[in-house]
Amino acid sequence: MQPPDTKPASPSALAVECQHLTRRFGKVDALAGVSLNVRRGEFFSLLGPSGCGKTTLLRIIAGLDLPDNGELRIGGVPALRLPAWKRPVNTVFQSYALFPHLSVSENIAFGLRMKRMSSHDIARLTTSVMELTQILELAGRHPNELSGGQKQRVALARAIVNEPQVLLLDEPLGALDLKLRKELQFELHQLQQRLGITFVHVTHDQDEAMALSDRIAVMNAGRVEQLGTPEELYERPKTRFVAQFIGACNLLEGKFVAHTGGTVEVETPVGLLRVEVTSAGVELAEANKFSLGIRPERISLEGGAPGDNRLMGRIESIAFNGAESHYRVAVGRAEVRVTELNTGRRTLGLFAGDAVELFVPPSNIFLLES
Amino acid sequence: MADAIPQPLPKRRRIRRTVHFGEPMPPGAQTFRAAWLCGPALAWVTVFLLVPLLFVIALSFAQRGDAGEIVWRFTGENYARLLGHGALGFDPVQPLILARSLGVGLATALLCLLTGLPVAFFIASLSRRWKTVALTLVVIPFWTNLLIRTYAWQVLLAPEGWLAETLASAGLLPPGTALYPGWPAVMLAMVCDYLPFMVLPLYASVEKVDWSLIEAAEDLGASPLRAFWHAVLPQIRPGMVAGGVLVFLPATGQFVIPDLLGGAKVALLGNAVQQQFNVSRDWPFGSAIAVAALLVMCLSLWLHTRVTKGRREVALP
Repeated sequence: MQPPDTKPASPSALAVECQHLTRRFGKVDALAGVSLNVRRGEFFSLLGPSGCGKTTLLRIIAGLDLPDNGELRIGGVPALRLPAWKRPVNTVFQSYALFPHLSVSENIAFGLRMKRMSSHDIARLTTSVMELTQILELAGRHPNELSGGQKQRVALARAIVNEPQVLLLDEPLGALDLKLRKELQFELHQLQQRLGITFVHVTHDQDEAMALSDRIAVMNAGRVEQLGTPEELYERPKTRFVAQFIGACNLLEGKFVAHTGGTVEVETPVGLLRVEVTSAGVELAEANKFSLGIRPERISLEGGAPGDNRLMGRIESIAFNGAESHYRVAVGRAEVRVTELNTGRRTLGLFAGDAVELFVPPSNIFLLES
Repeated sequence: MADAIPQPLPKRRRIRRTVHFGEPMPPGAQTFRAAWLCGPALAWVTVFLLVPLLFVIALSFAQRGDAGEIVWRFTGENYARLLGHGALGFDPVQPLILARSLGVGLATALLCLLTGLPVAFFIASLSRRWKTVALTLVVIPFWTNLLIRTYAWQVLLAPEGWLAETLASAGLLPPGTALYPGWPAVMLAMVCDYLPFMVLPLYASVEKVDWSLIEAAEDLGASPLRAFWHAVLPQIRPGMVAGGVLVFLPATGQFVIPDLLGGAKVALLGNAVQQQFNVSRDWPFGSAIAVAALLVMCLSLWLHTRVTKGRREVALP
């Protein structure tokens, strides 16, 4: 879209480097020492509940807020001294923040005009980005004549036309309805693949983060709880918070009993469980500062393999949800949630009140720091 | 998220019916009642505004008799004179009066805009309680008659007034200098008098400014100054235009302040009209000046509607 010579390619492989960033608002620590790196060209998400500091971090990267302490580099260059308007980043705001007095094409041209680009180049770039985001027919309209989804596309076009090193997206799809959100999620992903721009995306919607991101930083109370690919976060969550925030999870308190080879035995409210662990997991277990987590779909109600943990329980309720069924099963002193896929090849034929046997593979139980 | 799927509202037919003492009224009766209610005001406007105005317009095409009486014979001479058509070729006196008045009006509007902008931003930044206090303070001068305020300026700006004495003792002014009569005194009083007309519509606009647009502009590479220019000023343009018109119109026709503080040496539209009607006893020419002033003001109002056309909100107070 734009001749690449306007921005010298930085040798750094990291698009954004945050080191020990802190930010306090009154008595609240919005950021309590955040360090993370965003790689060049990746789709990176900051995921967390509202008030976890993810938007503050985004605003600091954008230059719209300053940290109390810490260091920030964008493309390898220290960025904290640069005001927002000199940083090689652009933002898609949650409220879109389109200029109401300008038409769609003028909105998109704004950044280029600020760079004092020639009107010929502005027209060319604006048109091509409107084609890319499929809003060419809206060029002459004003923001108050647009639907939510259209505003979203204009806000996106207005940012990417500047070819930023990093595109910051603050809950970009938050104000849209579910169907449109799914559609635009897909387009956003396609666009990122096509442009190769680094995206830093803030969201509280774990489905959205999982579907879009190469890597996710899960944030809570001003800290990064865990950073990893969607698979890592789902399969090997490190903390209770991450286990609960991403996907559903059964949490059990446990006491370390014994350690044999790659497994530890843990006494829990549902009975004695064997858990497959790494060497770090053994230390954690022996220190007795942990909880256990089991995903509901990793527990099966029939056909367990040899070596599985076997538990006896009684079904308390069944919720049929189309693709899958959710069971609540009383086991020992605890309640366990179990999800079974309705494949059609089999029906379990279970009813509330039935006694069932639960099979849990030791590899599917994870140790969480508590 | 998912639970926010909007529910379709039950369709409700809008009922067009006015309740009059509990009984529905037929539409014809509504029109009748509206006319009846508007009647007194309409009659007032017709008798005391419309008819005199038509009379003035008609008069502007009449002639002055030798003794100052009105001679009802059609002529365009009054307007020709206004445009500088004198007995001995071009006579700039009358066009100058018009130009000078427009200049005073424009200068007042501009100065009011420059001084009013910071005031409007300041008031908008206050807490709700202090906003009320500040807006009341802005309006308070209206409680005093314009004439009295203008005489007060005379006292204040006189050589023995404290302002002149303070400036003199600070060495900024030779002692015994009067700060009036003169143009600075006139403009000072004009700006003070018309500032509320500018501040109120400006404040109404500033109050509604979406400040997140400044962040958007800076994010897109605009320096703070350019962000203000491109993201904030367009938002308060309706208030600027409304305030400008509200100040420009009365300031153009103002003659009390230029007379009292300018030393009654400079002719403006207002005192030119007054002079024609009283001293010169040339009612037709006075009428022509009045009609010309009216046209100028209509033109500026038309410009105002053109500028604000197509915008949803016109910030007239």
